[in-house]
Amino acid sequence: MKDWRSIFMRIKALSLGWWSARPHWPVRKVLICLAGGLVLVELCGSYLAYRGGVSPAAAAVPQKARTAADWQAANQRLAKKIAAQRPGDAYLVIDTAGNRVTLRQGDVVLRDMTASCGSGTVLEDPSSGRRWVFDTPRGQYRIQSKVKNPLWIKPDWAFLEAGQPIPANSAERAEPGAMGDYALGLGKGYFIHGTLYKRMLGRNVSHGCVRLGDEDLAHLYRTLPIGTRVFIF
Amino acid sequence: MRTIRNLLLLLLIAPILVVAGELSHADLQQENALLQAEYDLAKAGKPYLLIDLQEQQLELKASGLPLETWHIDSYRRWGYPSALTAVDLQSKSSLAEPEREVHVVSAAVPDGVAADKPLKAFELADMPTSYRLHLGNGTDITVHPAPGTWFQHLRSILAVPAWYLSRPVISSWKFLRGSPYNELALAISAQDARRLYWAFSEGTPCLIRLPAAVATARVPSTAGSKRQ
Repeated sequence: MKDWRSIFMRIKALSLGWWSARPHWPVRKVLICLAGGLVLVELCGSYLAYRGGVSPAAAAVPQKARTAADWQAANQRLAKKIAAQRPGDAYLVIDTAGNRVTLRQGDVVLRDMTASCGSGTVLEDPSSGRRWVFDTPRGQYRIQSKVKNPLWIKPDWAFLEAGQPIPANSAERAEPGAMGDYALGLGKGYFIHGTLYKRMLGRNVSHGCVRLGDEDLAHLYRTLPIGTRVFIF
Repeated sequence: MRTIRNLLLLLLIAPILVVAGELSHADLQQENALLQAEYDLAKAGKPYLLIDLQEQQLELKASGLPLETWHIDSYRRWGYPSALTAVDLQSKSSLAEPEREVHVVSAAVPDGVAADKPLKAFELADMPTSYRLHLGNGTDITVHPAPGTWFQHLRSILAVPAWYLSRPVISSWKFLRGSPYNELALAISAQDARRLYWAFSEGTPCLIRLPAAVATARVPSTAGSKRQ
């Protein structure tokens, strides 16, 4: 205990000695100015952050008195209108990070499936200046087409990626069997389809399309009509 | 004597009741503004993020449908990081930004060789757990993983005073540069932080629901003929 006290007294004496020493007076002045400036900045910054007034969003609201009951009724109406935007029938939710596809109706999950989504890699062709990013697009889509025994018409990137020349004849682009037994078109060239590489399901390996296992794909093909909403995130 | 006592009690309670009523009113107004903004987003069909500080959760939604929900372990705010109308995510920044692998087509590569070299996919594990999200209205959202070990807890406790001491300096600096500055620091689990980084992409609209007490300070006491 005595040791602690003596250490404390020694530190105190040293600091006071340093502080009151005449040769350090300019340093002390500078330190006082810096500390004062910092306190001023802290006060100004705090005032600026929490000063009174109304946020631009709230200020834009037209002024009209309303009771709490009015607000409650209005909020209930809005909540109903938002709920009405939700799909009433079955819909698909595609989680590109987790490589999962869930078939849902309301809040009920009807089927949970393992998929393969976009790899996120980039392909650049300096000769033509073209660039492809193999991401699965996010957003809301609808099933636009349903195809049985789809034929993959290989795009340019498929040849470039394989280090092959791009064929002049379009018939040379067709590759049967690569997309599985069925394909559900989402538009802009993106499909939910089958795969030859089933062991890769659950990983991000596709060029943007969503790959599914045979049974899951057959189930979706049978049960989902054209127009079904698909949410991709 | 008893009547006088009851009257005194009523006088004591009355201001509390009035404040509670005000709180509720402001809360309802904030709710209305948010619901209106959410309705507009739901109609548009695009995915959007709702940062709900009242419920301490983040909801990624589309057409009013929650696609994924993440729990907020804790949060700190500086200023009023509100977004009662949709604000787009402008950019993300991190010290460990994920990089996509690029395959440049070379004419010198013989047929079929490129196909044998699969590129490393851009996956969830590559996403950072600590990062900043810059919203269009000058609000910054800092995301960092919730502390797990005692050392991380200690570090996060020590970081709090440093955070509150540094924010006024940034506020003053931003004010001098003429730009608004509000910040929200969210602590969520590391896995959720990665998923949020993945799912909340640039251009995605965002809404922020502040806690009720803060809403009282920000929303005017009367509002909304156009609002429903």
